[in-house]
Amino acid sequence: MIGDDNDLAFATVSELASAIRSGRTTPTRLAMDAIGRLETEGRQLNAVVTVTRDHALTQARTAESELAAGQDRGPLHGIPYGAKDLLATKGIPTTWGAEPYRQRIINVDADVVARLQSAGAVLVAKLASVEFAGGFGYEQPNAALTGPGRNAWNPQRWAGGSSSGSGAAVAAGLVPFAIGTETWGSITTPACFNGVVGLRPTYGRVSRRGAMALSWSMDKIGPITRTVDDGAMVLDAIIETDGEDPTQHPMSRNSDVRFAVLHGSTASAQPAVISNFENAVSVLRSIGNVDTIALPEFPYAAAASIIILAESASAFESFLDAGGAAELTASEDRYSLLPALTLPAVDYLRAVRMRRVAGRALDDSLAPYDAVVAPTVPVVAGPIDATFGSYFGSSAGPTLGAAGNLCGLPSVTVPNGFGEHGLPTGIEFMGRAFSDDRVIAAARAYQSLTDWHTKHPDRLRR
Amino acid sequence: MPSKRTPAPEENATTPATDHHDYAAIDARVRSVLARSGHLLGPSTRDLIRPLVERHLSLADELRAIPLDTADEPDSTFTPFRSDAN
Repeated sequence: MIGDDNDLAFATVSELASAIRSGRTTPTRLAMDAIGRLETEGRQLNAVVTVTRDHALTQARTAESELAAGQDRGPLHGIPYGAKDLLATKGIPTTWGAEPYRQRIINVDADVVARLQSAGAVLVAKLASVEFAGGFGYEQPNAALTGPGRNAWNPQRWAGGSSSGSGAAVAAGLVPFAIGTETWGSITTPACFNGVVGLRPTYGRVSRRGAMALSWSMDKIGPITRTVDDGAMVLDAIIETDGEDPTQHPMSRNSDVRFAVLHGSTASAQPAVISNFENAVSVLRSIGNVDTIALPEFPYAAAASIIILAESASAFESFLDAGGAAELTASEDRYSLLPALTLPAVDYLRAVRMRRVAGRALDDSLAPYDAVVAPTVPVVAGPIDATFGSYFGSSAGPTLGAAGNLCGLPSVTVPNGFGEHGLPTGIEFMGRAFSDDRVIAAARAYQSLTDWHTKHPDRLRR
Repeated sequence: MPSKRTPAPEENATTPATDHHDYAAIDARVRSVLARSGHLLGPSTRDLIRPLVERHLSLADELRAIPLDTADEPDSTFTPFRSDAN
C-alpha cells in the first residue's frame, strides 16, 4: 500500500505501475524522485556512475504521453531503473567500472537496454560495477572507478560485487529495479548482502549483446528487485523471445513442490546465517517436500576459475598487453590477470570438457526437484576496508555458486533475515537449466510466506 | 588423481615448498609469464606472479583428477559458416 513519498521510494514495480495508472504519480515524477535520490544517497553509497537525467526525463515524458493516449506498454511502462555500467547505452558513457574507460561511449544500446526501452521503462542511471566485473582478480572492495561499493544497510560495509551499485540502489530505494550481470556470484552476492532479490537466468536466456564480455561461456544478465514477482516481471521483458513466459507457472502451497537442501551448505556459515537458513527451511516444509542432497562431486570451482581466467585473458588480451591494467583502481587488478595470458590451452579445454560431464551429472541430481537451496553467502557483508580473505575465510563465496555458474543454471536469491551487525542474509534457490519458471515459482512461494522483503534500512526512512 | 611432478632438486633450496607442484614447472611458467608481460611489472609485482602461477597449476591439477574419455568433447559454439544457410 502506497501512502507517502517514502513508500514510493520503496514501492515494488507492481505498486508503482498501479500508482501511475491510478493517477497517484506519474513517470516524470518517479524519474525526478529517483534522480534526486541517486544524486544524493546514490553518490554516498558509490552506487552511481552516471545519472542519465536528460535521457530519463525524455523517456519519462514519452511514457507519460503514451499512457495518456491509451498506449500501455505493460507493467514496466514509466518505471525508472538503473543498469549496471557494463551495458552499452547510446550517447551515455559506459565505463565497465574501469578508470581507463571513464569517458568511453559505446554508441549502441545493449539488447537488454533496448528491450526495456520497448517495454517503456525509464533508464535513470548507469550503476557502479567492480572494474571489469571483478575479472581482474580484485581482493577487496576498493576496485572500481567510483570507489568501494557501500552497503545500503550500513555504508561501512561492502555492497558485494560485482553488481555493487545495482544491489545497493534497489535496497536503498533509489530505483525499484536494476539490471546486473553475473559470471560467478555478481548478481546473487550483492542482492544477498543488500537484502533484495537477485535473479540469475539460465545461461543464454538473456541476450548478452552490448554487454561487456568477461567470460563468453559464463556471463549472464538478470534483474535485481525487491520482490520475486518484480524479478519475474523484469525477466519477462528482457528474456530472449522463445514463447516461454517465466511468470506463467504459479506455484501454490498445495502443489507438489519438491525442495532439496544442499548437504553441508551451512558448514562454514556464520551462526545467524545458519539459524536464518534453518528457519527458512521450516517455511519450505510448509510448502512442499524437503529432501537433502549432495551435488555430484566435481571440482566446480577449479573449472569455473580456469574458464573465467582463460576467457577473460583472451577477451582483454590487447588491453593487458598494452599495459592498460596499470590504470586500474585496485592494485591487485593491475597484474593478477597477466599470468592467465600463458594458461595452457589444454587446461582450458579440460575445464570445458569437464563442464559437459558435470552438467549432465548435475542435471540428474536436480531433476526431481523444483529447487535446491542453500545460504546464498555463508557470511554477511564484510567491512568496507577488509580483504575478502579476512572474512570469507575458507568459504570463499556463494555455496551453490561454482556449480550453478559453471553449468549455467538459474538461481534466485531471496532475503531471509538479518545476521551479524544487523546485515541481511539470503537463501538461494537453484534449479535445472531452463527451469527458470520453476525456480522463480519456488522462490516466490517462499517469499509469499515471509516479510523480509518489506524491511528497509531505517536510516533511509524519511 | 592429481598429477605429481618430480621436484627439481636445484630449486628446492631456494623456492618455498608447495604440496602439489614441482619447482621446475612453476619456474618455467613464471618465466613464461615474465617473458610475455614482465615489462609491465615493477619489482614488487614481479614477486606476486609466482603465487598466482602456483594457483593456476593447482586448479589444473584438480581438473586432472576427473577422468575424461577422448569422446568427452567440450560444448562448442563453433558452427561452420555458409552464407546461404541459417
